[in-house]
Amino acid sequence: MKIKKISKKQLIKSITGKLNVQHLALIGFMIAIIAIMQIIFPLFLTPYNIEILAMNFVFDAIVALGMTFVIITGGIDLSVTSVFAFAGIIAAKLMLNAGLPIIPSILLTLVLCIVIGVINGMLSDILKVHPMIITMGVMFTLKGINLAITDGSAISGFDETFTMLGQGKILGLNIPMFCFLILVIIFSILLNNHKFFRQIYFIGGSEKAARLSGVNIRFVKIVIYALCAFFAGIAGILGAAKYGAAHWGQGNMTDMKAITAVAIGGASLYGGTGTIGGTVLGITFLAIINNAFVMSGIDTFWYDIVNGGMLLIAVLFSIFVNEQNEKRLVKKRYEIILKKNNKISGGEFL
Amino acid sequence: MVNDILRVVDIDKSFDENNVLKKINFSVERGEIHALIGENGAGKTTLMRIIGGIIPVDNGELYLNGEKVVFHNPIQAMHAGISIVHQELSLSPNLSVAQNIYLRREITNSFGFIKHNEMRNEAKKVFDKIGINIDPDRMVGQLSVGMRQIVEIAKAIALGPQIMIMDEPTSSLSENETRMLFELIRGLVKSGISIVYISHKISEIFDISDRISVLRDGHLIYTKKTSETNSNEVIQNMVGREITNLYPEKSSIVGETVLECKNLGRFGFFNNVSFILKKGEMLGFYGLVGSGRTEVAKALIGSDKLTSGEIFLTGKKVRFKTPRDAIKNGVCYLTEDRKVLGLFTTFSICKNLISANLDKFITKMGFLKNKVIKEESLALSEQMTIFSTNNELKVINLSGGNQQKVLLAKWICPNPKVLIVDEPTRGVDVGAKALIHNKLRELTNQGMAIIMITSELPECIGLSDRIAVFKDGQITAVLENSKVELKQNEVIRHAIK
Repeated sequence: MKIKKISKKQLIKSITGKLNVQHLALIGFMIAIIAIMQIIFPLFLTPYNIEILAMNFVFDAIVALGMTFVIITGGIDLSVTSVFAFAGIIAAKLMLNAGLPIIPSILLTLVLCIVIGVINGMLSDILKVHPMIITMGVMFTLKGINLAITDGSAISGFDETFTMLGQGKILGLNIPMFCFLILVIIFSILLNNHKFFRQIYFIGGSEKAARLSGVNIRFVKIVIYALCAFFAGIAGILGAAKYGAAHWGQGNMTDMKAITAVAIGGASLYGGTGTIGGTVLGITFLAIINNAFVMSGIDTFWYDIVNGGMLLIAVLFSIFVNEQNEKRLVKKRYEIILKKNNKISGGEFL
Repeated sequence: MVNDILRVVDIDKSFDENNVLKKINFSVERGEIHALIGENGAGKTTLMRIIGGIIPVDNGELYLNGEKVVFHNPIQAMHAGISIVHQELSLSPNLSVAQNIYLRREITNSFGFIKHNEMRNEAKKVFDKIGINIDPDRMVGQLSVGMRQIVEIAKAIALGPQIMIMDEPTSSLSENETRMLFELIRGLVKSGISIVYISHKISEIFDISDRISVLRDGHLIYTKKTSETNSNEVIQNMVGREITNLYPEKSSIVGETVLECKNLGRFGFFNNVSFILKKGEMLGFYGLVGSGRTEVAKALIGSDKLTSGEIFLTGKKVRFKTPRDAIKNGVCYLTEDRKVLGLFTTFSICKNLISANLDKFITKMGFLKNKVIKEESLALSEQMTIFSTNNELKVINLSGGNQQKVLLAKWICPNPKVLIVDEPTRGVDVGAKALIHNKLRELTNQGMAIIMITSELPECIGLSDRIAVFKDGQITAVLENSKVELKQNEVIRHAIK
């Protein structure tokens, strides 16, 4: 297998992608917040607080990974919020009502989530309806199903082995965190280096051109939406395990948080851009801001204002940086042409 | 001189380094139809856009009724009485005819509310004036292309212009609609409007114009009364240069048949299209815009559906369901619309170059060989003289010529058996054009079979070994061109009747 040959350096590079100025600025901003918080509240950088910080956002983070792919294709998936709750509920039902063992119930749940994703992808590609509408429809339908099969109440009383999934630790790391990191590593390598995932950029760049370039658009889209639902399913199961209960309201707003994280991470909602590294930074940023608010005791009403403001600033900044970058490249090319033109006559190379 | 309503003196215009117009002197008399003719890229549209105030001039002056004018935007030109009927229709399909005619000039009361009735009546008056019956309440989207063209003209008339500039108004019209349009134009001239008529259809121009001006490579070559010239003279001046020297030599090694199409048809677009393509050969598809050439190509590669016919690729019967199928079987199509269908304009050169051929650059597990991609893309861009240090530059920043080179390189990369190139040199400067021509010939010499769709006759004759002439969705003639080069009118004869 050739995957082994990837060195440590390459691995880091795959995860971070090409760290651009925007990401560096985001990191700088986060460090600044952390530093200020640390000075005022010395408890900020304790393992205990970091764990809380991470566990608050790890489920949204997993959803955001799936959302990254969908957004790169130029689509959007609003159904994740219902899939999240659905996964927890179905897993709970299978274990408690149907009496299935843990692993089959989880696998079955994930398969169901994938089916929902396939429906999302198929409907938006076949019916040519904007994925926002399709996934919104699926979101409401699924929400209704969630309510109907639970009668609106929470399901609890899980086996301890199952709750371990949400509350236990591997190598001193919470299991959801561990899952998240593994997914990040696998999928950032794939996104950067795999043929299939390169095609999602082409679809996002221009669907028509991608079709004429020989991309099987329907297949790629269906897989991507399935993947997104799969991620939401994992998050939902882990969430249910962590809280020890499955409830239709779980995962509320997780779609918006995921989209915000992806956008702050530098992806354009028009499609064609986005990296896993950017999304990880985006979600970390949201988590830190949230935690800083909670800890400082400032009215949490302000939390949304800061988040919203940061989203706008991040997007504007990203546009600005990209423009500057392009200008630099154009200038560089122009210089080369001038040099070559001394030998070859005519302005035909411009 | 006194009779000149519009006079253009010594106009220069460059885009970046590209000198598009050079010292143009041009005038329009009151009440005349002045035809402006030239090849694609000769500068016709640029000149009209300058007169219409859409783009600024670099040097030179504009006189309207003897007074010097400077337009900073199209609105000023409109108020001065110059209105343009654009080549690409600029109507919104989901608005009504009346709403389109008064788009952005809505008739409103003092609170800014639109007076729908009044607008409808005014629109009706315009149509009465030109003697055509269109319901102002119809949605533009429901009208035929010809009717839309009329609405476009009505929109221009509603401005009460002194001069109307029509940019290839018949390019998408049927014969009947063209005749109707010409009557309309003659009527307008009688009412005192002067008309600048841009076209590259020679027969039309002799039909309608009073004077003819020929533009070539940014120079105004000559202006003559229509009655004092003939089509041969106009064509000669239009083309100007000795064509034979410009193009690479014809193919010497033509091999066995690669592609054979029998009775291809797509309902409403083309029918009974049959041709043979041989290894190492360049087959030209010539015809007027809308004669079905592009449609055949698109249906052939599976982008559109074929309704009838058979395709044989190296003797085997095939039918491609998607472009993906076609590419896998070695049939590639280079689109005429590079910005929308051809390239991913916001992606880097490198990503574009490999976009049609990811399979060539992956390991067995499907991982991309980034190093190989980089090397290959640099080699390709070196070959095509697209100078870029690392190919990270976005394609959108390149000129048309270089974008076209990237597009060609993209389709060379999969090394197809059959390459269909659609208008490979549209909107491309002379240097890039020569490079593309040579590259195409180089490919056929290496054994590739190429179908070249082009509207430029000199290019078609200069490059292809055989020419299939299209008219109204059918091939009217397949002409041998490799030994003795055809004359232009021998080809045109089959394209028009």
